[in-house]
Amino acid sequence: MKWSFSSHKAFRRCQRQWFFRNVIANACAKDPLRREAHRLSKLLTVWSWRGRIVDSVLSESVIPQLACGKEIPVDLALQHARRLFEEQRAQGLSGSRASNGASVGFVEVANGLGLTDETFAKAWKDIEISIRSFYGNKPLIDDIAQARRVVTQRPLSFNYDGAAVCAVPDVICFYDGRPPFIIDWKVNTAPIHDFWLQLATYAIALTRCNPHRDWPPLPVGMDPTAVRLAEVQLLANSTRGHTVTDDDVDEITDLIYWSFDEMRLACCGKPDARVLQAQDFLTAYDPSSCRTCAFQKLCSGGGEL
Amino acid sequence: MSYLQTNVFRIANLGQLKSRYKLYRIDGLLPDSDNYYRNVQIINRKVSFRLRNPALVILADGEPHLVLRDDAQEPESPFQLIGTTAYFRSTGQTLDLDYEHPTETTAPICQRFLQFALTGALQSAPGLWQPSAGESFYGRQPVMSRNGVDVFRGFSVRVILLGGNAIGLCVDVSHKYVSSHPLPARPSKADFRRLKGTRRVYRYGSQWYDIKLHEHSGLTIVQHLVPDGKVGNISLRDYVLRNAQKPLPPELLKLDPDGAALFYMTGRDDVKAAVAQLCYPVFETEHPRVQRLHGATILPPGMRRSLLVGFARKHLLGLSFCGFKLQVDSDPVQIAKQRFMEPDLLFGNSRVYSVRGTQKAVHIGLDELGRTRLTALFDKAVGTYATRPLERQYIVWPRLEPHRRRARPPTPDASPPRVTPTEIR
Repeated sequence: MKWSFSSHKAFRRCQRQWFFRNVIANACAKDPLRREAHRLSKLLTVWSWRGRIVDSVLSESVIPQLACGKEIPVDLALQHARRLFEEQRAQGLSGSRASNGASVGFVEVANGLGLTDETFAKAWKDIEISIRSFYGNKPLIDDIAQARRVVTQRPLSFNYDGAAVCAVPDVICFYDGRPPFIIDWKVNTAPIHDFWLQLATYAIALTRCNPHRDWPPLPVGMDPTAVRLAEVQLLANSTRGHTVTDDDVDEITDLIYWSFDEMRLACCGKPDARVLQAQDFLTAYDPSSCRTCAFQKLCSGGGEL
Repeated sequence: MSYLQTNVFRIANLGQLKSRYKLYRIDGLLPDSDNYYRNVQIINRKVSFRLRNPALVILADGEPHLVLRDDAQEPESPFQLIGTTAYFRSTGQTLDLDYEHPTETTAPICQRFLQFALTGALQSAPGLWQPSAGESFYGRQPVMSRNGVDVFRGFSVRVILLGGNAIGLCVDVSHKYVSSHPLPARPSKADFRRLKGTRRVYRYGSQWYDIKLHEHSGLTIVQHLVPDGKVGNISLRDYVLRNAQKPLPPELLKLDPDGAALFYMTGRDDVKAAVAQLCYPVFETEHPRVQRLHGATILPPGMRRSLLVGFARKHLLGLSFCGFKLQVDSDPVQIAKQRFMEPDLLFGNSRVYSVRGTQKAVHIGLDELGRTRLTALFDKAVGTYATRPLERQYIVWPRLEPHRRRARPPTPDASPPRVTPTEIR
C-alpha cells in the first residue's frame, strides 16, 4: 500500500473518499463501481485545475528550457497556458477526452453545481497572475538557472516500515558541491496554510530513495536537514523557505508510520477492494469536504452505483 | 417531610415571554440516512452561527423541519451537509410560541430559543467571560493562582425541561485552568508547530475567548494587515488598539511591535489574526501542573450550593433579553424525598431474602441486608442465582508497537484508534 502526503491528508479529511480514490479506483477492473471510482478520481475542481495548468506550463515548458539556459518569454508561456485552458475547459464541460486519451472533468459539473463564465474568468486571472509572479521571482529563476540538473514532477519512492512512501516534488535542482533545492508551487488565494510538512517529506524522500540514473551524485552522507526547501506561493507572490532538523525527521517518520498504520488498520490489514465496503470507512467530519468531493454520487449511494 | 435540594431554578414569569417562529421543510436530509444525527447537529450549529439566531431541526409528521425565530434572515440554501445537500423550503407558517404551556413539540423549541437568548444576555454581562459557545461563564478574577496557573471559577446555565413541560434553569459550578503567562511574543515557525491546533484564551482587551491556533502568519503584528471598515487595511496592532473596548488594559499598551501574528478560525469558518502575546495557554485537568489544583476545586456540597445560589441571584435574577426581564426563584427547586422498599433478592437454590415480609422468604432487617447478601453469595447452600459456566470472555486491548520511540501524537480530528480483540480461553 502506498503512502503519500496527499493520501495522508485525504485520509484525515475523509476516510471514505480515501477509500474510493486509493483502494477501489481501477480503470481496468470488471466491477463497474471500480471503473466509475477511477473515472471520478480524475475529476478536478476548477480551483485545483487552474493550479494544474500552472504546474504543467512551468514544469513541462518553462523550467526545462530554463535549465538549458534558455528562457521562454512570459507571453509565450501565457499563450501556452491559454491554449491548455481553452482546450481543457471545453473538454471538461462537454465530457469529451483530450487528444492523448486523458479525460478532463470538473467536480462541479459532476455534482450538478454548474460553472459560470465568471468562475472561469477568475480562474484564468489566477493562472495569469501566477505565471507572471514566477517570471518576476528573479532569485528563484537564478537558482534554477544555476543548477547542474533540474528535474520536474519526478516521483520519489522509498520504503518505511512496510509503507511505500511516494513523493512528487514540482522541481528538484541539483548543483555541483551544494545540496539539492526542492521547489513546490502553490496557487492559493488565501495561503494561510504552511506546507512545511509536505516539503519536509520531500526532503526525506529525496535522501532515502534510490538515486535516479539522470541525477548527479548527491554529496556523501547528505541528510534531509541539508536540503533547501521552498514553498512558492505564486498568487500571493511570496516564497516561504523551510528547514528541517534531525528531530523533525524523527517526528515526520513517526507520523508516516502512524498514518500508514491507521490506513492499514482501516483496511483490516490489506486494501482488498473485493472485500472492503464503503460503509466500513468513516465519512468526513467537516461538510465543506463534501462540497468539493468527486465521489458524492458513490458516497450517497452507499458505495453502490 | 425532608427534601432533596437541586441546582435547578424555576422561571417565575414565563407567561410574559413571547416569540414567534417560522418553519422550513428540509429536503435532502433523510431521517434514516447514515449521518442524520451528525447533520442535524451541523444545521443547528452552523445555521445559528451564520444567522446569529437560534436554529433547531425538529421532526414534524416524520419529516425534518428547520425552526427559526420569525425575525431571522432566510437560511442559506442549498446547504452542504456530510454526504448530502439540504434545501430549506419555507412552509409559509409563522407560529406563536407559548413558553408557559409548551407542548411536546414546542418544548424543545422553547428550550433552544430561551438558551440562545439567555446565553447572549450573559455574554454581555459585565465581569463575565465565556470561552466559547456552550461553555460556562467565568469571572475575570482567578479564585486561585499556583504554579503559574490561574484557576477561574465559572457557572454553566442550561435551560432544561421539568416535569409537565415546565422550564427551569440548571446552574452548576465549573473551573477553568489558564496559564498566568501568555505565549512568548515572538514564537518562531518551528516553535509554532508545537502550538498548532492547541487552544488558547485570547485576551482581546475586555473580551476574552477561546481560540484554536491554526497557523503562524510569518509576519509581525505591525506587518500583518487587517481590514477595518472605512479606514481600510491597518496593522493588526493598530486594529487591536482601535477596536478593543476602552479603557485598554495595560497588556495591550505593551504590545511588542515585532511580536507574531497568528491565525485562528472562527465558528463561521473565517480566518482571523491574533496577537501571540495576548494568547494564554489553557490546561486540561490531567495536565501535571493542574493535577494538584484540581483537588482544591472539588467543592463540598454546601459551598457549591451557596455559590450557585449566589450566581443565580446576582446574574440571572433580573437578566434582560428580547424585552423580557427574567424572574427566577431565589432558591432552587426542592423535591420531596421518595422512599421505596428494597425488592426481594433471589439467590441460588431458590433462596429468597426479603425485607418486606414476603411469604416463604427468609425475613431480614434492612440493616442486615448487605452482610446477608455477601454471606449468601459464598454460602455453598445458597450461592449465586446463576450457576452455569461462564461464557467465553474477551479482552479489548489497544495494539501496541513497542519498537516505537514516541507516543502517538494527539489527533483530535482523527478517527478513534481501532483495537484488536484478543480471545482468552
